[in-house]
Amino acid sequence: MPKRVSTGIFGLDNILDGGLVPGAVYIVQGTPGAGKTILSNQFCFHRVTQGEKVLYVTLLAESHSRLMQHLSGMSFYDEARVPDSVFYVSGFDDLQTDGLQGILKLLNSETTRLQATTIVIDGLFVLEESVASEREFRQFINYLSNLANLLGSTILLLTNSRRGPTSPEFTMVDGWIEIGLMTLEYRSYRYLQVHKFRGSGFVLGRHMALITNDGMRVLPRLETVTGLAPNNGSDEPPLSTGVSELDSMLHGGLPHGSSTLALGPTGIGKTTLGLQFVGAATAEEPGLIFSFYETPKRICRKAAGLGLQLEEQIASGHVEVLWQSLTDTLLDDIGYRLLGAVRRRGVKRLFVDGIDAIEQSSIYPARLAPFLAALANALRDEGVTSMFTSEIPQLVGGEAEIAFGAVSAVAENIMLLRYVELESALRRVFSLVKVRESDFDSSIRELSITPQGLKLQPLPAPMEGLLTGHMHRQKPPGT
Amino acid sequence: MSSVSRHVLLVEDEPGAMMTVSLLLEMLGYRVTQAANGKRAIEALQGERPDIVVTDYMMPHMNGLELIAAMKAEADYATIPVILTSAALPFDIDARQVAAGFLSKPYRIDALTGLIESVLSKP
Repeated sequence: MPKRVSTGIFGLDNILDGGLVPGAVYIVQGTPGAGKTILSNQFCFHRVTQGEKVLYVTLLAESHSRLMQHLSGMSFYDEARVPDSVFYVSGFDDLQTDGLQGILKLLNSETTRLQATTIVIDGLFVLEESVASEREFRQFINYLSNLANLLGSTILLLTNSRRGPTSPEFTMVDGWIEIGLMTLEYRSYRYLQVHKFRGSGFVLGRHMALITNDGMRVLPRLETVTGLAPNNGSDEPPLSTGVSELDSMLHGGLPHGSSTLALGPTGIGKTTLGLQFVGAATAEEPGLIFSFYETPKRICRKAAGLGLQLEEQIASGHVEVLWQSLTDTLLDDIGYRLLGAVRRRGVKRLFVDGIDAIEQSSIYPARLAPFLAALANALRDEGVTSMFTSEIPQLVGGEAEIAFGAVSAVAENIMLLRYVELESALRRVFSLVKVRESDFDSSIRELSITPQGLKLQPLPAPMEGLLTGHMHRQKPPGT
Repeated sequence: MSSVSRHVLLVEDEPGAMMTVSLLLEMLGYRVTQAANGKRAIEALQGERPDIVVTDYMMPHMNGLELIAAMKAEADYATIPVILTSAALPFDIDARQVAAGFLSKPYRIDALTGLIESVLSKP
């Protein structure tokens, strides 16, 4: 594989199989406002941290001082590096005077003078407009490729031109990266797509991208870059659920590295179950609570009501609570945040409260199944035993409409929690529906939430009708 | 002295900045000669001696500091005052030591004219 130049842009190197290739020319195409300037400057300042120097040539673009003013709010921008390591110049006079030859001469002299190995030309469309023929432009791109090769420089050409893939610049350069904006209903999304990349494979298709004060983050579709290798599971002993009766039903605990889906209506005790699971975290088995609905403070308060010392565990670093806003959240952003938090602390016990929120953040429902499969596989690769909650709409009564669909990827084990009407009282019941490759106790237990935590007791007498919500005593045989 | 008789050599590589600053200076009564970089400024100096040079720092071929050094090395130009303008300067450069005046970019036109007048009023 050829040597790579890391872009320093989250996710982009994954898409490019390691980064850009030195001595190559790339087009970065995008409509105004798409993020070309941020992407290119982020790349430049990252290369500077690697000891390189950058020549940034503009042609009828925003003024350098205004550009620097806009960049000054970005965390990657380091004003101390300008102009010693990043040198902004205009090539307009050279273009006006000597045409494309003038630009080539300028690049040659300035890169030598500054010893720059990264070059950005902002305004390729200005060059296009200044040539008399396509042939002349093709020749220019050819010279540029040779120049990049001879200097060992990486050249980015920024353009907002809408010219297509058969135009000479696209056929002759080494790579073509498009940044765009798309609007679906009332929301707009920024995306990045690599159309061409010489020298290696790359991840095809559109990937969502975000611009924050930290610059651009590209979110490669999770299922294309992670959890790809087959995983045969773990031989390590099961993990305690934190509920002794449940561990007995599971003949020891949850299979190591497995995923569990806890299903039930609102208020039934799903979060309590998850809190007890993570509450069993230790320094050797760090825990993570990833919550969409309840803030860390509320979770801690809830845990305290169950006799769990969650605040102490957070303080000691055994547990972390991450709250994820549901506002304008992107599916892949959730995935990377979750996996990042898992990898950062070597999490072994994960509780995701609200898989429904993950489903809602998917723009394209068809992506949910492969996304969750990749997420589950990636978690398995990290040796994480995970528990997800999912809400059933019916509070009580009726057939439980449980359509697993995409979430079956995280449902190696299934726990069902329900309200039932039993002898003129509303009660909570619990049952195990499925456990990965293990025998388990399938009996229905009465669930109660006490100040000492969740309790699972045998029913007072043999009952049936859990799924209908109307439980009743089983009739004695022969009656 | 009125600005009518002031001749400014404006050295700037960015076409937008060059055009607008030139236009505003001319509207205020200055006479402006344009040069797109240090090398072109040296060529312009060979033609006509300006009262003052206002130069950007980051430019191709010859930057603002190189222009100042070249002017100081030439007896004919060494006494022409220079105002340096830039959004950024090398960390080891003290603009006050190398130029008669310094303006951080972006600047307002009245700040530039004020500095031009202040520099030219010094004996």
